[in-house]
Amino acid sequence: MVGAALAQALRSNPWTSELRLVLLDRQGQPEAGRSWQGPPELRVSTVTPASVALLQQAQVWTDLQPPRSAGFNRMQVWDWAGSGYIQYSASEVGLQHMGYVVENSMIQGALLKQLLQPGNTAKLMFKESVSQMTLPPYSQSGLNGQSGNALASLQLESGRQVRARLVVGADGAQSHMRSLACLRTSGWAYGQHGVVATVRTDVPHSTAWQRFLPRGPLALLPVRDGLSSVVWTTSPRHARELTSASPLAFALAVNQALSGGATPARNPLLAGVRGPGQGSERPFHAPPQVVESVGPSPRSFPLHLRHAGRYVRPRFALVGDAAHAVHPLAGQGVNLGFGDVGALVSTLAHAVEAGRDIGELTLLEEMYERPRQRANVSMMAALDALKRVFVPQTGLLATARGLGLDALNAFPLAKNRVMMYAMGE
Amino acid sequence: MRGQALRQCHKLLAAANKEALLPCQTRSATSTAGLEAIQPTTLTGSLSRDTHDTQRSLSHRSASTSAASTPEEIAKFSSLANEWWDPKGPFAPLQSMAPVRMLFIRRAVCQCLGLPEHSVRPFEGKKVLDVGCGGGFLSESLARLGADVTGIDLSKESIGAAKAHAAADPGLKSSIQYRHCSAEEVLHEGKAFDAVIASEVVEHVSDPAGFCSILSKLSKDGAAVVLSTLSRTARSYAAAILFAEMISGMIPRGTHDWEKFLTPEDLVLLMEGTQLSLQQIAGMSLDLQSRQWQLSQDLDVNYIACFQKQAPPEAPHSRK
Ligand SMILES: Cc1cc2nc3c(=O)[nH]c(=O)nc-3n(C[C@H](O)[C@H](O)[C@H](O)COP(=O)(O)OP(=O)(O)OC[C@H]3O[C@@H](n4cnc5c(N)ncnc54)[C@H](O)[C@@H]3O)c2cc1C
Repeated sequence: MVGAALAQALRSNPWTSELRLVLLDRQGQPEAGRSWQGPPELRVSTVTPASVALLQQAQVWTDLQPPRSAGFNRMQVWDWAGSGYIQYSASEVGLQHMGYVVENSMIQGALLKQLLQPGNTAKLMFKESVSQMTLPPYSQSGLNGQSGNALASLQLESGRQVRARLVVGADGAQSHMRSLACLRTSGWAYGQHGVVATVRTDVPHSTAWQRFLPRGPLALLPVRDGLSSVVWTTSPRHARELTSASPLAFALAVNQALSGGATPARNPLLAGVRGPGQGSERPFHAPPQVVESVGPSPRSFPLHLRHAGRYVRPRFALVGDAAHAVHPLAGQGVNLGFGDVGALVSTLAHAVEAGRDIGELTLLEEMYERPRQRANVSMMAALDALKRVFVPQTGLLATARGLGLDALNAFPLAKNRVMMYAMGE
Repeated sequence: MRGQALRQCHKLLAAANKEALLPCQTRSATSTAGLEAIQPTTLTGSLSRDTHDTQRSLSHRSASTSAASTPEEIAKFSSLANEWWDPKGPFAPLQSMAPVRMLFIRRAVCQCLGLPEHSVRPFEGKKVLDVGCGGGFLSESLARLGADVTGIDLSKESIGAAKAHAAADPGLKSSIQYRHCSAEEVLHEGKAFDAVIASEVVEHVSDPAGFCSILSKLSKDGAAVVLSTLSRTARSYAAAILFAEMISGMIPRGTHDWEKFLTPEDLVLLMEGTQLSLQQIAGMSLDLQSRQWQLSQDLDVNYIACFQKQAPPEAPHSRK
């Protein structure tokens, strides 16, 4: 998804549109410009306004905007212990929507449709992958023999050979390109699984609901056709139970998770505190009831946090989950990847304008790797901290956490800052 | 006589600056210290040797027509030729300045020759001479912008390094010709170019005036001549020599001889006997936060200037 977005964004930028591109994926060719009838796909992305801007530049947003996706204009976060809640609304920052929920395959299809347009010179290869890669060395000194700026050379599974000034690894969290480039990662498994499902609710809604449960957060997001998507982080065992439950049993479990436990009350510790503006004056909204799961049966994935220490080498760069896989909380996964795309496109546009080699290490380090690592690491730290805050706690800690949420709600300035962050600003 | 020349020179600089820096939409955070701020005090105030130096520059040394760098200068570069392209090596600062120089060259040359500035390869079909090409930083970039490049250098080792580097990229091989020769030799072959670039060369030659006159003769009427160099101010002394050469080891020690540095005024005066007239000029400053070079109006240390070759007097005095 991120790789195709990079290709299409490069095609759409006047400086980089003449670069010759080759895209390859080990899967078969997905459906281009896929129809949006029938039940939505299980895997969805929460696309922030910043990512929408990128998709607009890549000329695919018209194929993705509602009714093909669903916008949400409110977000409510609360927890199981009932000690507080936090609410965001798009109108607080003068926007119509805080974000959109789009099926991953819809994004892929829209990008592919553009990439297959006649006159588009990008070369697409499906059911293909890289078996060997030779990159130039880090140091370019030395006159003798092979010079440091030799092109990257790739040996493909099919036996074909490709030479390139720049190779981009966009092959996801288990990136094979990353290991071919000998770039190491650090991180850990969360010991949790993410369960994804499409459900029908009693009433359609346009709120992103997120509740922190003892075993992990559950999100209920609007998707197209008035349906909703569930992204539920939980223990591997519970995930197995959920994925094998009947549609009705699954709905019951979601309802219990969303409406059980304590209803959040205003924290007594905050009784005397009054923030300027609306703050906690906003009433808590009860989430809708889930009626049944629809479409393909729920699936589960193990969750990891994984980050590459370096994103670049001479003639090589990583983007998307290949560089950083995060907890799917707050929907930043694909947005961080789109952020990478934006930065890499402007790096290469600068290179073309100034006549630089697009695979030059200093260029990639200074204009792509450094700013993206800074952005991605701080977002990953924030997501990880948020996740840890909501790991089950009791007594004083739980109260403090509730106080945190409630206090945040009461002070619009701090709250907006958090929201702008969540919206990828 | 000299006072008059200087006054005229300031007028020229101010006029060129107005044209050049106002429409400049590079990512520069331009300082307010513009060229208006260059007062005659800059000429005499920095160090007392200035007056003497300006005179030296002005005396078109007729005895030696050779504008070549001294053998010691050439040897300095030859001994380091292996390291031209090492991003962490001694030429790293020069390499890091190349992109911002290219942005200036792209704009200035396009404006001189009436080429489409927003084209990906605006120099397509244009013959460009890179005098003192070193390891080929600018030659390679010029070739990527479409130019048919001739890169010359007096250091055989540098030419070897430049050739080896370009040979690895099939897109460059056919569009750059590297030669170990002097500008005079190219001139004697009767060649003329659409653009002549001499980046960080004029401060290394023994006869700057003679050198400028050769650059002028190497260019076709209307062609662009771009020079970049280091100014001779107290700040450049501190910055380029003390800081870069001695303290941080950024630039190989002994690369620069401050007395040979030229202020923008010196440069304009040097061009008096040629057909080259100043079109635009910009400074280059290091943004400490992003560690990137940017074009600016601060001409005190590094600067780059574009001149245009005027048609002989009888032809109309036009600027395309
Ligand atoms: C349960 C779950 C829920 C999530 N929810 C959200 C969410 O709500 N919002 C959000 O923003 N993000 C979410 N994410 C994260 C999001 O899915 C990823 O960030 C996003 O898919 C990353 O895109 P990518 O293009 O980098 O990688 P991928 O989408 O994984 O794409 C990798 C591509 O590379 C190909 N490939 C892999 N290996 C090879 C190889 N060896 N050779 C050739 N091709 C290869 C694959 O076929 C695939 O097409 C979620 C993730 C999970 C697991």
